[in-house]
Amino acid sequence: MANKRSAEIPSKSSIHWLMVTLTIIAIPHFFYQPLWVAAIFLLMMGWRLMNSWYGWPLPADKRLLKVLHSVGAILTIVLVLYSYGITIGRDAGVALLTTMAAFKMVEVKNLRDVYLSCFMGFFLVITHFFFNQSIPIVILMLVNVILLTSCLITANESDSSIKHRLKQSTVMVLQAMPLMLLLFVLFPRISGPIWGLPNDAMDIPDSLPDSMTLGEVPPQNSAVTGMADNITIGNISQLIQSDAIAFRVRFDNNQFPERQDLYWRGPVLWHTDGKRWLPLTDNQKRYENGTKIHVAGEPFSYSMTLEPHDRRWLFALDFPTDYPQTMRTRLSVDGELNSSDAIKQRTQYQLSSHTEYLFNPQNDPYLQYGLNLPEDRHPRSLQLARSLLEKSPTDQSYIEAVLNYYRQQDFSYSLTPPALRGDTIDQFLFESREGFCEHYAASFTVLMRAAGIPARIVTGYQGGEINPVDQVLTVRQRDAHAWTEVWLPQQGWIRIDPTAAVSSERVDFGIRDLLPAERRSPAAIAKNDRLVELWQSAKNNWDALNSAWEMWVVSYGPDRQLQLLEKLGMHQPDWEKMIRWLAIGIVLIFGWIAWTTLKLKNLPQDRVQRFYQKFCFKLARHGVVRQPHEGPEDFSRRAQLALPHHQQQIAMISYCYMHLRYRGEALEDDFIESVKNFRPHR
Amino acid sequence: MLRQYWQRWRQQQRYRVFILPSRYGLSYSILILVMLLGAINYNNSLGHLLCFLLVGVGHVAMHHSYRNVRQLDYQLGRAEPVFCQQPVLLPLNLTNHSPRPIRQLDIAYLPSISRSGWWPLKQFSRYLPVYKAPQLAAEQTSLHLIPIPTNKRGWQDLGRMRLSSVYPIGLLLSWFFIDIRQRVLIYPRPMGNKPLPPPSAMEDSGALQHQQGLDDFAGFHRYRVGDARQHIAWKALARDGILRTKQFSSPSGQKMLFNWDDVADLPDTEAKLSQLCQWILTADTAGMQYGLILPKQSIAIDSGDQHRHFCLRSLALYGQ
Repeated sequence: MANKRSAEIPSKSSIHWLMVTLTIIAIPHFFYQPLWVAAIFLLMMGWRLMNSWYGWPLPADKRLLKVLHSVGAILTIVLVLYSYGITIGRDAGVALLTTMAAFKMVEVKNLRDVYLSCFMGFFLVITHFFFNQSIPIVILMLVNVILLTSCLITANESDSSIKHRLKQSTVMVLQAMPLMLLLFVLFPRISGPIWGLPNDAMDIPDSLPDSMTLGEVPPQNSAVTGMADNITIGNISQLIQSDAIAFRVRFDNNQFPERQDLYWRGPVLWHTDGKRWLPLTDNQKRYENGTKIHVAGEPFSYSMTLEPHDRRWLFALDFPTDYPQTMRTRLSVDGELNSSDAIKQRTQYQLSSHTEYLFNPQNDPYLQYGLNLPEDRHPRSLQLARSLLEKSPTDQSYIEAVLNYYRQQDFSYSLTPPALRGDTIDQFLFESREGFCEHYAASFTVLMRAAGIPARIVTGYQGGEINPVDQVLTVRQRDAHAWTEVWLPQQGWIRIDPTAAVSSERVDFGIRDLLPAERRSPAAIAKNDRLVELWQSAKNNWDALNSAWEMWVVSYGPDRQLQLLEKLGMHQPDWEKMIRWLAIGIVLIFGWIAWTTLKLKNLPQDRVQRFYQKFCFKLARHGVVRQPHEGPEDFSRRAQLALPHHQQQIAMISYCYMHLRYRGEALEDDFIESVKNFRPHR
Repeated sequence: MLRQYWQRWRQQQRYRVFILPSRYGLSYSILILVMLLGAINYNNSLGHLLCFLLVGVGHVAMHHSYRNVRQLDYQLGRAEPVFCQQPVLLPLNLTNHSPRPIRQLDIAYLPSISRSGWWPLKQFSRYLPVYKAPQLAAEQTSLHLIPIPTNKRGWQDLGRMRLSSVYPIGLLLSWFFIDIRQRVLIYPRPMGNKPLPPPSAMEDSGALQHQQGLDDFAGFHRYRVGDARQHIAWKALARDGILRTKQFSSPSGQKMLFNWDDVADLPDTEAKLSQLCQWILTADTAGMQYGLILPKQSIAIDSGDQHRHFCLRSLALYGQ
């Protein structure tokens, strides 16, 4: 039976429908994949189309074409291996799947092939989520599943109209949604990976570099999705070109710190060769003891949702005093919060921070590192430091003098500074005098160390935007920043942001206002204030929706699941409880769908008809079943013979019924009454 | 209220509907499983979402598939006797009680129900697909003639039919059984190329007439099963593709007696019966009167449908 069915030749219309569906599914991949993937795909679709329109031969028809087709497929596999390397990772896998689905399409000749193509289609749908997990892609997923389901319908009923097959599949997909939602919420989530992930399993947009080099000109068109080794080391200004989200913060009770306190602490840089700045080496870094924090004021509690950056550091509002409970973290002695594993997926953690604090006011184990300067470098800077030091009696007044130096000389804040050559610090301080946070932080640190004040660079983010719709603070890569900390006796490490001395807007209003107008809103409406405002509010709403989507749908995993279930009132959710509720839900949904599909729709609306049917039921229970061919008169005669006790009643009811049906006389109440009183027995 | 629904439901259940995934359904579940493993491995929440949607679609398909065959009512008609290796046309009245059309109904036939074997599904492969009803209109009754293959003369017990559908998406097979509980007479297959034996010796004058009768060409009629092969108008067939039989005038009073001894030279019983069957049909078509003499039975010379059936029946049941 099954064998015979699978040998059926699919109709042209079902092949065309399948081709349209697969093309719609493949189109998003054309944007992520090299051009030849799209070319091969469309070539194969074209071939099949030519076959059904003009009768061009298919591989199955001619031996030569069959050979060509197979050779083409093999060459494509070789091409994939050649472009992506021997290990089949995410991109290679998707390229392979897309092209193979197209090659298969040309040789579809029976039902089995149609099913195989549809199943490849389902696989292609899931691969969209490797690249994009936004709301539109999920809507596209629903459309694709509806289309693929309609392909399956067409495979079984080739003469169905497009309207019918789309209607049927839409109904099915809509009816499938309750179970989907139930499983999505309650299916016990396991945290992956189960086996190893290929290297390109995820897109790491940009992330903060772990060291910093002054004076390199940022490459203008480097790939936004570049992997870590593509990022030219140490260019925060390159990050400033990216609008990608670094993390989102939700403050408990909507208690926001002051704008100028929004310093999100990241890696700390100590060592320099005059050009590059590097963190402490792993041998030097210590985690236990040695950190003494004295705090004042109320703490801010907040939850961070960090986008994956493939490094181990976590960001925290300066300065974190309570560590995340949900993951293994530790704080290094120089104030870096680190996770035990690299952050490879969106991660959420709860923190609290104090903005008023004293950091190691008595002593610090690394003070020596904070004074190191390379030999024989920055002669002019050292000279400047000496001359300023002579005029300043205390450390405080020296710091003030240096900041004043930045303010009074013609330093300016620029996101596109000229390239620096030679001694970068000297050149910046005395010649170009144009730069952004990196330049200021590095040169300030050099001036501090020259005067014997321990200093270090802290990188991280500054500011962020609060969305008025959902009160979520979003920090983007463009908010990347670098500032300085100096150590003074009894005061410990003090944050000093030399960039603020030059451009206080950077700190007071955030980087956004320093960006050119076309980065803030589309060029077409940038001239009209009202439109900009409208655009901004639409954007806020969309951002809020997206952020809820990303928090509750995209990053719904084991932790989030427990969190949600607890919110929904489940006490100490575990997988056993989930399975129990899942089972209850499945039974309910089963019943609901059974009810909607099997609803007894033939209950007649009209009372007479309904009561006549009741009469027939009562008789049917005694074995007198009305046959489809039997009219009321014949049936009555037969029933009278079968149940002689009730001869009169049956005759009466049937007579009334026929009268009501065919003459429309007002005997309705009598009829209904007699049906109600009719209680047959043998 | 509930009781009433329950009773109505029970009443509508004239048969039990079974449902199982087809082999595409099994591949579909493997596909979902693989995709789910991938989604877990990549921690891809939306991948989970797609898998669960597909699970939902499979679940909904089950209900739709069940609904498609549930509200069906059937009545079997009586099957008429046929010649061996011709299909029995079993009349089947199908009534769709539901307000929706019933789609893609496949009817398969199981020649004999064997109770052996521990795996009930093993019988599935023995069902022969015999009929396909693409659509049964809503709330309508329609008559279908289900061709059931035959391969042996004599009484054939009609076994079991399976009415099934994979609609809508072919992942699940819903079916129910109809036990036919009928036996149908299968005549021997009309075959053989021996000429008609000489007319009955009892009628002396008939011998000459008969010879003339076979020679007088009287025209064509459409081929009917049982027409003698040597009377087929092969030339006409080559011309327009229609199978015709040459008809020869013969006086209606012609009397023939077919004797078992006339076919004694044929190798086996079946061939003998086939030849006799062939002769009976030829004689019947030509409007002759004929009789039959079998080793343990003889049928007097007569004509007419009843007589023909009687003769063919004794051939069919010969030795049984």
